[in-house]
Amino acid sequence: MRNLLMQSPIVVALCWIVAFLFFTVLPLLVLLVYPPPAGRGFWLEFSVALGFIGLALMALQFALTARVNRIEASYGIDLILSFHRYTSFVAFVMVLVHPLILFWVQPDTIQLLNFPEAPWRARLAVLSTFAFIALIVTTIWRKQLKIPYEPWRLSHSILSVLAVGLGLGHAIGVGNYLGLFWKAVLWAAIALVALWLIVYIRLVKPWLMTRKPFLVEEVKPERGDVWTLALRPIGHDGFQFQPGQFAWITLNITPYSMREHPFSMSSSGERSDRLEFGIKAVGDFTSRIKDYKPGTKAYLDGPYGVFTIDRYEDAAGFVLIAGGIGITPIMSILVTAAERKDDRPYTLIYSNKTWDSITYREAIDELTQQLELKVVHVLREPPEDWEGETGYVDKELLDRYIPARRGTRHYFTCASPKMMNQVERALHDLNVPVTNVHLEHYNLA
Amino acid sequence: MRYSIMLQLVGFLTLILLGTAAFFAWMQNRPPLEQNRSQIEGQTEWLKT
Repeated sequence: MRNLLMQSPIVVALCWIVAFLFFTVLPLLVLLVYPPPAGRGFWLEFSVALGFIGLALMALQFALTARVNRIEASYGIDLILSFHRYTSFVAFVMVLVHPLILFWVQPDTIQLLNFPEAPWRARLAVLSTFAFIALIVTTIWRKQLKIPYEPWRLSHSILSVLAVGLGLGHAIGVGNYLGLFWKAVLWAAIALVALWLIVYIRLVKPWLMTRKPFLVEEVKPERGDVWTLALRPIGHDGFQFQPGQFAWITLNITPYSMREHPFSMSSSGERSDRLEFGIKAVGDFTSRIKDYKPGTKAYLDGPYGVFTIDRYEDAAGFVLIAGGIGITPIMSILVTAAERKDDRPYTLIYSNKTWDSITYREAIDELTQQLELKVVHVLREPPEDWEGETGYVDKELLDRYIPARRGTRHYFTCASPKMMNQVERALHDLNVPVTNVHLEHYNLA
Repeated sequence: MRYSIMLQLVGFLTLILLGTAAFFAWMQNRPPLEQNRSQIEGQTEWLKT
């Protein structure tokens, strides 16, 4: 019974949320053991508590973004990154409100902002807050500020370490609550664990990746300005993945450079000796994919992702909904199902702009011979003699193709954010159980 | 939709964190134990007479 309970995705997800709250709040409540003399007033103590909670929340962000497989497997990396963004913002507001309350309750303390004359503990607080502000501004307005992805990732790591490190220095410098040695050690340990996580993801993981290199075997063009990048493992067995998962690719440079990009595998999960990725030429890196020659060295970090049919072995069948390059993980699902001789029914609803831009069109046609697969192409700009579906994947269209017994299928959607929202809403309106709907964002940045 | 659910979850977690901060501040500002005791004794003095 206990085992069954712990296999429920909802129970596991709830456990992680409780753990998140526990680790945010516990370091604060520990400060109530042998507390300093009280009586400084409610609002001043409230402000102090906000500062400590903000700091603990910031430190926890390192765990959220460390690609910990066990956490990631409960939610999916896109949801975790969104949770990271939201909770970081909450931490940011708490850290900002912390001094504002202080200035309001004790107006004299505003002199602490006089940087040249302020004590070091106040200077550390100001520097930490500036690092946090820079962190938030460069993340929310990265595209408007025209900061390329790789320098942004590097600056994001440095600024986050600075914000937490300087914030902890401020708390220890003030010394009111961290005056006792063991309390300072406890909080320093939290900061060290956060630091270790960033060292792990930036140094240890890349080192592990260098021990399992891959070589580019082929770069071939597909319809829709998409390139298939095929990799072969060198000196090892490659890696096992579940169809629909993705990996971070580093191409032609050392993995320590942190210039890695997430792409879904499009090949069969049954073959670890040749991995294929479908990559659409839309950005700086992806537009250069076609220029990489066979023999180029590559490194992979993965596999990641919960967008896979392997988690739902008991499903009676699947409805797969793809928009444009969102077909990549779905192609992997279909190819793997064909290789496994899966006899369950599959429906593919595939939206594209034109008939000629349908990536993997011929390969999908072939799959209909090997699988119980019904393909519904939806075109926004159909040819004149087109008799199939046109426009967008909306409620009416889905109602025509999904089974009457909605809960007998699992629904996998990978498309642009706009189409995903539309499909998610439509499936909800069509009474598809929310636990049967699975979404994959293909833009994590 | 799941993002809206998550936004609500983060809102809920934020409320819990604010509540914890308020609890922390209250714990640090509650009247000392002796003061509480003398207050209670003062209030119950009439019972003895």
